[in-house]
Parts: sequence; structure tokens; C-alpha cells
Amino acid sequence: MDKLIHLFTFDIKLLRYLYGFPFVAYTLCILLMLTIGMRSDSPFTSYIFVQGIAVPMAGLQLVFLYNSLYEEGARETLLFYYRKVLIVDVMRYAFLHGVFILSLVGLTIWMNGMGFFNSTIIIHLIMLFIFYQVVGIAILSTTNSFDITLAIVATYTFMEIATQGTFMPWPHLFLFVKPIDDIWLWLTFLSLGVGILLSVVQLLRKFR
Amino acid sequence: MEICVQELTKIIKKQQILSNVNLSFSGIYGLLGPNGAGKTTLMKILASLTEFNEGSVYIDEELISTVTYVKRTNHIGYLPQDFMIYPELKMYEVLEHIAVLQGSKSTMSYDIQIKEVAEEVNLSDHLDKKMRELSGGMRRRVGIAQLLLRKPSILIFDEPTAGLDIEERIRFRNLLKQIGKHHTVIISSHIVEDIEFLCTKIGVIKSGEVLFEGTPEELKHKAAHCTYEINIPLEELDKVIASKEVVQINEEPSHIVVRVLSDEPIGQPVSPRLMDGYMALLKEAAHG
Repeated sequence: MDKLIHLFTFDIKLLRYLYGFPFVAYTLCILLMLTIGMRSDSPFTSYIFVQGIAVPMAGLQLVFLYNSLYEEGARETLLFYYRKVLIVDVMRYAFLHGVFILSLVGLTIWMNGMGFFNSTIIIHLIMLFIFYQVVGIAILSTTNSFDITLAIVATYTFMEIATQGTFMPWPHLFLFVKPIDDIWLWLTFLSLGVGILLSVVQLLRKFR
Repeated sequence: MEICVQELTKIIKKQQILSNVNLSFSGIYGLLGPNGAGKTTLMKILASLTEFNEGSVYIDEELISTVTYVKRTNHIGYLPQDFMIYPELKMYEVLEHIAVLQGSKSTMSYDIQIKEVAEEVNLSDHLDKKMRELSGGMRRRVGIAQLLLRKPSILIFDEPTAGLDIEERIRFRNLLKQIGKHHTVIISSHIVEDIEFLCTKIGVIKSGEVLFEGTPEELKHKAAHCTYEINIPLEELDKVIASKEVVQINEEPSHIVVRVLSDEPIGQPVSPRLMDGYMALLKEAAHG
């Protein structure tokens, strides 16, 4: 328990105001859900904010933290230690942000009713959450650059959300309408599964 | 502890960086070689930071490598040339974090351990300074402190004194000498003076190939019977530099003393130093 407290305290010291970013994003997400989401006829409008703002920001926390590893002169020293705690770090932030995402899920249920979350949406949300938790540090470990990683994640997420998956011919990871059992739904799940798998393989390769 | 590499080969983009390297590191070991010789690559392989293509690595005859990787081992600690971590945090916070990540098995509290290693590297008065406020030499000493918290048996230093001022270089050398009493220390450097002062065994690599491994005396012997000193007036210095293999130049009040390597007797024969042996070895390798 002492170690866990130390790890969180250290992360706050290290990131300072940057540490609060995901939590600011959750607040923004709630505001958007309660304003725009409430006024919209589609029950998916409020849920798009959870997928497009809260879940990606939850994943960025680890990118902020692991950026220290790729600063000049640090990698050779810190890699030895980070190998030991990578899984602990992924787990503790998955748990922390999982609690906040669950709260937003609760808000969505309050707005749209219990029936909104069918098994497809639940499995999709879990996979999307896992995807964003690992894909950021996987890209960071490939590019060795915080800026490039942030640009890739932010560009993809923003383009997808802004165009609701209709603009770019790349894999679409979000659900913008009530899912129906068609090829596009399977492609979404396939893309998420492949993304998670490739990210995990990359992390194992880089942190073995 | 002794660490041995056998038939180690590393290829990057079809270029052979290390070629069938066989070395046996023990005591305070100096790895010498010109820039681009493959020293840093070899050190990174030993520290499990990069892969190799062929070969094997042993610690005390126990295999510690897989097909392409040195297994992650607590025995080995590596200090890179440009060590810098967490620039915005205080030295104490950094060392405390390292101690927690390391998960020390010591019964001593982290605080005592940190103060002990800070004392060992003579940085007790700087624990409250931010990492970015420390000088290059101090930062490297923090690097040693974090390694000492881990207590590895083998410490690898890549160009430990490069870029340090004279005072800090001497302090750093003394520190390495102290550490060498209790650990196997491998120092990779192109600065012969560091190696001469510290090391009990030396390896020389050039273009990824081992040219020499042995004691400092054996390396000095490479320049036996070919080291001379000549006294010349200042005006002739350029001519001598252009025509002879000059190792060192000393200015005296009335003349210049030039130390040269030569197969032909020239000037006063002198007993070779480590630099002479190293230069003779490189010359021998260059001429095939």
C-alpha cells in the first residue's frame, strides 16, 4: 500500500498540472453530456462524449507519465526500472480511470435508461477503454516522441469524432449509432482487437 | 564477478558494428577504442538495452543471454554518458523513487539508504537541489548513487569523464577507484588517461573488432623499442608533426619535447606509457 501511495504521489509531483488533464476532461464531458446531450434526440450524442473525450483522455495519463522515459539521457537508466512497474502502472491507472468512466456510464444510464447499454455496447466500451490505455504508450515506445504520439492519438480521435467516422478510410473504433449486427460492427471489433494485440506485443517487445 | 562475451556480433542496417567479439571483463576493466569503435553498443548489449545477432554472454560461467538478448539481470548496472532523469524533481525525490521502484530488500529505511549513497558520492549537501540545477559531474554522481541503491555486482560506465572539467574529472576518477574495490567496474572510454589511472585490465576495440586484451603493462609493451623523445626548436614543430607519428608534445622554456613512435631510432629512446602502447596498437592495426 505504501508503494502504491508513493507511486501516485510521485506521479503528481512529476506531472504537476498535467496530472489533472484527464479529470478536467471528465468535467468537460459531464458538462457536454448535461447540455448538448440532454437537448439531443439521439441517445448516442451523450455517449459519444464518453467515447471521444473521456476514454482517450484516460489513456493519455500513461503517455504523460512514460514521456519521462524518452527524454534525453533517461531511457538507458529508467528502462530498467520501468520494466518492473509497467504492468503495475497500466493496472493502477486502468483502475483509477475505470472508476471515473463507470461514473460517466452511470450518468449515461440516468439520461438514456438502463436499456441503452446492451451487451454489444458494454463489450465495445471495455475494448475501447483497454485500447486507449495501451495504444498511447505503445505508439510512444515506437516513435520515442511525446509530440508525435499526442499528434497521432489526437488527430485520429478528433477526426473520427468530428466526422462521426465518415471521412477517413481508416479503421473506425467508435459507435455513433445503435449497433446492428453487420460487417461494420465486426470490423470495429476486429480493429479494436488487433489494435490491443499489436500494442501489447509492442510493449512486451520494448519492455521485456 | 567476471563477465565474458563470446563471439558477439551485432549488425545494424547490414553494417557490422561488432564482429566476433571475445572479451573477459573483471576487476576494473577499461574498454578503449576510437569514436565509432562499437564500445557503446557493446556496453548497451551487456546492460540489456539492445539486441545482438550472434554470440553469448556469461557471468561467472553462467549463461545470461538468450539467442539475441542479455537477460534482464540485477547484477548489471549501466551509467550512460548523458545521464539525466526527471530534471524538474529534487535529487532526493529522484533517489527515493528509484529506491521504491527497485523494491529494496534492505531492512534500512529508504531515507537512510539515500543519505548513505549520497554520502558515498559526496552529494549530501545537494539532496534538495533539482536535477536540472546540478552540474554535469554532479548528475553523473547521482547516476552512480542510483546504481548503488540497486547494489549491482557489475557497474558499466560509458565515457564517464567525457565533458567534465579537470577538478570534476579527478573527483570522478577517485570515486570510480573507490567503487572498484567492491564491484566489477567496466569503463568504456577514448580517454587513455582515465584508463591508465584506474584499470587493472584493458581491452581495445576498433571498427567492432578486438585488437587487444590484457594488462596495462602488456599494452605499454606494444610500444617497446619504438618510443622516442626528440628535442626540437619551435619552428620545426610543424615539420615533425607532418612527418612523424607524434604522440605527445611538451613545451619547455628553450625548446619543444616531442614524443614520437618510430620504427627507426630517432632521438632519445624512452620507456613507453599506456598512450604510446595504445597508439602503437592502432598504428599496427591501420597498417594491417
